Amino acid sequence: MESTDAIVLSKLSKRYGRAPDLALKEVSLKVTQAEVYGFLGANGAGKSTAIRTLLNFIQPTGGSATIMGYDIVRQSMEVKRHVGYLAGEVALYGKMTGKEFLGYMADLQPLKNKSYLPELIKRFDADVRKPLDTLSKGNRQKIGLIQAVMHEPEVLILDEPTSGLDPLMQEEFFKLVREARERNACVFVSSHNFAEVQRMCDRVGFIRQGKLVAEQTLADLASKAAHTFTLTFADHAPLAELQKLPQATVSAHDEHNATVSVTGELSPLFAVLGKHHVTRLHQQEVNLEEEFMQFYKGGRDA
Amino acid sequence: MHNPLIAIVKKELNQRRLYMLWWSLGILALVALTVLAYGSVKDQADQLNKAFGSLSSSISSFVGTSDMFTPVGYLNSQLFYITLPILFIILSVTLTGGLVSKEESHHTLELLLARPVGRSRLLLAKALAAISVMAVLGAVTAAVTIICSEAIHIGVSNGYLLVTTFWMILFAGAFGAIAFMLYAASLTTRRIAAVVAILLSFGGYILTSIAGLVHGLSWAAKLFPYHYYDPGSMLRGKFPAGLAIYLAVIYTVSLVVALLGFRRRDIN
Repeated sequence: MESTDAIVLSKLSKRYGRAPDLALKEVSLKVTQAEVYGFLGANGAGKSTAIRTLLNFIQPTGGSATIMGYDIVRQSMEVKRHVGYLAGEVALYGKMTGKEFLGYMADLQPLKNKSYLPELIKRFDADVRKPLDTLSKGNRQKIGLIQAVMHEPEVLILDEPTSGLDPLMQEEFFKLVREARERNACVFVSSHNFAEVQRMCDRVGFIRQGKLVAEQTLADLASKAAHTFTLTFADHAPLAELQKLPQATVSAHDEHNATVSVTGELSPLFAVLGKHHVTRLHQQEVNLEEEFMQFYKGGRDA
Repeated sequence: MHNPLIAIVKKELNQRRLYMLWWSLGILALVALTVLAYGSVKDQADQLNKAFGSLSSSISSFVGTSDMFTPVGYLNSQLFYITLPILFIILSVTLTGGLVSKEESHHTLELLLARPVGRSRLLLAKALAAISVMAVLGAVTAAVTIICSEAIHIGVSNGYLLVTTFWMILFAGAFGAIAFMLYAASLTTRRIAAVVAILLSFGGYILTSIAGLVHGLSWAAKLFPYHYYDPGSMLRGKFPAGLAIYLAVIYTVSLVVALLGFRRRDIN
């Protein structure tokens, strides 16, 4: 399937009132259809400002952006026809029941497929009979998610989507994201939850102090990330040899065991292992959190 | 049929069912008691009018009439000049001020604006909801006034009572429109918008009341809506041309400024 740009930001900037600094500094990025893009940054980095600007809740100070080819300011109505949005802090009408609320949202934007809403309610096991202000955070989040996706938009903009969801519902959400990607939708997720991003995104952008500092595919990040092995030797662990390996660190060891992290080429490690009697080798799952932290702390400015 | 404007108006009215019920009951009680009370003084109207006429002219300025005990004078002074406008001004200012500001402070405005509704249409829907609430309560006021007036054979035309209620609602609603404009266009906070609108109304009332007594204030009084509001004449069937023009200007300016301002401003 051919990928076309779903979201395009060109030097998008935002200054609040007379604040001396820009909250968003000439951010340029592209997200294609059928792509899940993670927008990562610490609190106050500018993630929500970017999202609120994209949705025309706030006016850009400079630059431009399009969603599905429509200008976010001049063609905001057209943009909204293609977008599903979940806010970071889900705000709902507390006195309404879930059913009334979702009905109201459907009145404002008709559903493409009327059977999809009951299906979502069932999948997320959402309680739609009680007033929304009596629901727990997790249950309100489910309703928020359902209203964002029920009209099957081509672009999903989600701010901290799994906040408050239990693991089962998180799993259901990841499934929903995969389905959205399969029907060629673009998913733009703002988050600071590494596991969540690692689980569902194709590509990530790092924002710090309003500036997009780097973009990476998850595959690139994984290949650059350190591979960590826990090794068990029949005789003494060859610590001296392991410590001499290029781009390797021995993080833990005892008489027969050693934990080694290697960045890049693995063959030198296996060459060393070939010379010894290895009884057990366990590779830990690649954890991208450390990679992300490098960007957070400013160690990897693009 | 898909019509976001109707959906928003319906939701607003549905959400305010109880609010309208309580206001209706309050208005019913106030209007019924006030109008029916005239039955007990009706027969002494001439004597009471003479006694009232001997009082200072400043008092008649504040109650809006010098013939307080004729049917028209009574309805004017006891209902249409001060009491009902006060109620409806408070109603319209709190209602219109809250329509957008509550959604904004609760962040539900983003839910609406994330859908293909359009800021202008959203604002129009909110204005229509406010007009509908005012219309329902205005209809209750007119109905109770007419029924009670008929019950005591007050002798004022039902048509004039209806028309006077209509103008009173429009007059009070103008202050709601001002508050709506100030908040929607982000010119002030909700609280300040309400204070400005209420000061304009009651400041105008005081200024209009003392304009006849204090030399040099009449020109200033002409700037305020209360100067053009004369329910006594309306109850006698006179068309309030000055008020109509003044209100048309206020409503038009309020709507245009609100729409232009709201379309361009950041949502908090």
